[in-house]
Amino acid sequence: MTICHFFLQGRCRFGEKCWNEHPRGGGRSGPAAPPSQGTGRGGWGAHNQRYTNVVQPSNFSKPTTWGGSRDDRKAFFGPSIDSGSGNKSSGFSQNRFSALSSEQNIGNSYRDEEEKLLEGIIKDMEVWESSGQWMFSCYSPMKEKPNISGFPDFSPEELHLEYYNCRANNNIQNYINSVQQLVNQWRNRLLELKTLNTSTKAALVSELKNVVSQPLPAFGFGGQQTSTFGSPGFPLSSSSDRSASSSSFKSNTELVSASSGSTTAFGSSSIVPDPSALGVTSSSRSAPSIGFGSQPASSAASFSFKKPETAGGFGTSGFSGFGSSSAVNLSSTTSLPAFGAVNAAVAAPASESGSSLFGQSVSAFGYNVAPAPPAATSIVTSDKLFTPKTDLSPEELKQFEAKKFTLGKIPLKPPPIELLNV
Amino acid sequence: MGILVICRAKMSLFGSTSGFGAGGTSMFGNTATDNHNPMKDIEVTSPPDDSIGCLAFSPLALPGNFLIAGSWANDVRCWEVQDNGQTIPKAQQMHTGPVLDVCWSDDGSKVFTASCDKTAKMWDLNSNQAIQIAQHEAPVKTVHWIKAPNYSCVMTGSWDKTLKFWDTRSPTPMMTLQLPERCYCADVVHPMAVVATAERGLIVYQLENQPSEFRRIDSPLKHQHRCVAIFKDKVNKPTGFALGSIEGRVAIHYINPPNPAKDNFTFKCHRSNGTNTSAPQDIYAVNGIAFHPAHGTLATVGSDGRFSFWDKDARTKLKTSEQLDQPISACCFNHNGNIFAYASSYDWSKGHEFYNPQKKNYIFLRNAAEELKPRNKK
Repeated sequence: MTICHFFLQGRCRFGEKCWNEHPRGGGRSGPAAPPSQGTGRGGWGAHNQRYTNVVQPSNFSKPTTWGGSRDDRKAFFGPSIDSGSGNKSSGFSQNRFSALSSEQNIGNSYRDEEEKLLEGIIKDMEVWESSGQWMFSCYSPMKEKPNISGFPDFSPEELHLEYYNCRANNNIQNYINSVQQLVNQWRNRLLELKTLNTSTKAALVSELKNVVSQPLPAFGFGGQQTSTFGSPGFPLSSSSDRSASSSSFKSNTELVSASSGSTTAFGSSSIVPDPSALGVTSSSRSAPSIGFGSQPASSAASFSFKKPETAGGFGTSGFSGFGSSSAVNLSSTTSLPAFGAVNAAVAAPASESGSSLFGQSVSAFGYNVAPAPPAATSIVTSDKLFTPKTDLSPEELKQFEAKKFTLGKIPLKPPPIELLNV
Repeated sequence: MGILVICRAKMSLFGSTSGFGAGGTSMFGNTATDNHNPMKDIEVTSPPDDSIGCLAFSPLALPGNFLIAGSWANDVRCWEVQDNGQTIPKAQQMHTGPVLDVCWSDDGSKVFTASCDKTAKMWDLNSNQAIQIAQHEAPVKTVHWIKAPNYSCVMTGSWDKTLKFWDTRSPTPMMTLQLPERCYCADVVHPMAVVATAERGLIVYQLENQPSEFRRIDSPLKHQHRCVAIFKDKVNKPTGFALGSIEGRVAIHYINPPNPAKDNFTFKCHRSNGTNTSAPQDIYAVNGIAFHPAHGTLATVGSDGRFSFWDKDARTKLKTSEQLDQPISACCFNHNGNIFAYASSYDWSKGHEFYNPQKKNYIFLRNAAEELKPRNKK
């Protein structure tokens, strides 16, 4: 049965007698966005900035792509679509961010939401696969959800640069191999998500749910801990943005917690006991000219610091002219947390060696793939993910066993499973 | 048509050692069907020899129009654009790595350039000297000039996950702010700055008195951030930004809208098969967004080799161009919005297999005075 798109817009005049399907919970309160077509081939739509809505499958009039069982479920909250046309760019249709009646969803069972989210993810994966869009991109099923693990972000410029560096070193094959590896990893992860078996599903659901409870010292950039954040002037002003703001970093925390025990072996430098070591904004001590004008320290208070204890490293203004900033050297790479360290260590020599970027990223990627080694055995081909101890050089082993990685000595291989505390 | 036709054979990308190799476009070297300038726009003379990553027009303070382009050939070039459309190459500077971003000082006397060689330079056009003014631990992706009532500085965003502010006279930054991830794009319209990072990070800064983080925003997009541009309200104050991703989508986001649910929205763009429903769409990255300085309408350019003009208030598309035979990698408006410049060069969106060093890169100039007039609101 086709979905009645008038019903979804809240204006079906046949009501119960309608021959088309009225999905339960469909947009009774009307469309969220005015269907302004204009000359529109642009597919405009509104999205709720803080929606609790479930993700809408972008196109539910393509029944062939869904199993039969999915069609039966009255789960399609999608905004209306000219039935049968599945026109992806008409009006405000396919936009999965459309703020469809939020009142409806409150009544829905939580499980339903989860289901829809997973369906949305499957749909997104299918589109991603068939659309030819950039592969090395992070992905999140919905706003306020963390990035799903297994999709590291690389911009075209980074690959482009990598290629040039490899070319300069006559090492193009290295680049090709690394990219191929990334592609394979992407494809595997995508397939996993597309064909959600029970264990992947469980891992995914826990990942998506696990937006609040983060291991405390986990990650320098991680969500909630503004103390380790030590970020400058982060006002935490509006409450809505508080959750919003931290959520975009859940992704990073996700990455780390997703790689479970690996944080201890791997990311120990992320557990920076001394917030000032993050070296956030303390600029140099040798106070050069003060471009920002003479600011007495008291004025810095106007930047609404909420976590004064963090300001240890930060000083009151983290600002060069004052010298009150901590003794930590800002941009020095030694203060970057684990993942940052990985990239920084990699990025620094990138222009020289050229291949290290991918060497690192590949192993880092390997972490993301296995959220919890015990639970996700179906995902992992374990021999790639963990190096047996015997394969490690003594120096590498020492690095893994150490509390912190020393920059420049971070092993390129994944850690041995024995050292991980899961 | 060359490169984009081949893109349809998706399975051959990225890993197959297919016969296409690096010469994707050369297969269609036939000039009779040459599609390098389907819009018949003005071609800038002596374009760079490699992909153009960034474009910037001179500000109002400088009489005339001067265009700066940074390319992957490590050079920064400057042309004078005359009113009759003639372009005259003026000068060039070099970095030791590809140039990722360029910008002008507000008085039009200096050009700042950011490069993969981890530095940013200040180019004094009068003396034609360039000096290094910034240093990072990783390629510098963005550079912007900040002109506040009580200070001026250069802001650089880098893949080393920091945002640094430089007084051009000092080798040490005035301020360093940590970013959650690598900086991918940024924009500055005083007193607001927006930085979008990897892993969907999005931060707004306020620049009054001194730069400080204002708010971290939950990304309205599901995929990698690619470009961002701040827009202003009717009284010329920055009020929000447009964010583009690799997934053919742009989000319009207001900082403090009266009704976020209604005011913020996303729209799809740079996709193929607009009305054809059965075939899966090809989705291209949005490589650049630029707002018309007078009309407030915006232009987007994409990997599909098209540019589009949009009216975000009327939520309509104003125009889409014909398809060029290469992606459009950068765009910008001149200070009064009469000229729209866009660069046609490979953006690496399909990997190294589609990189053809022999393929010429272009910068086109289009008269933008009429086409970007806002649509009257219904």
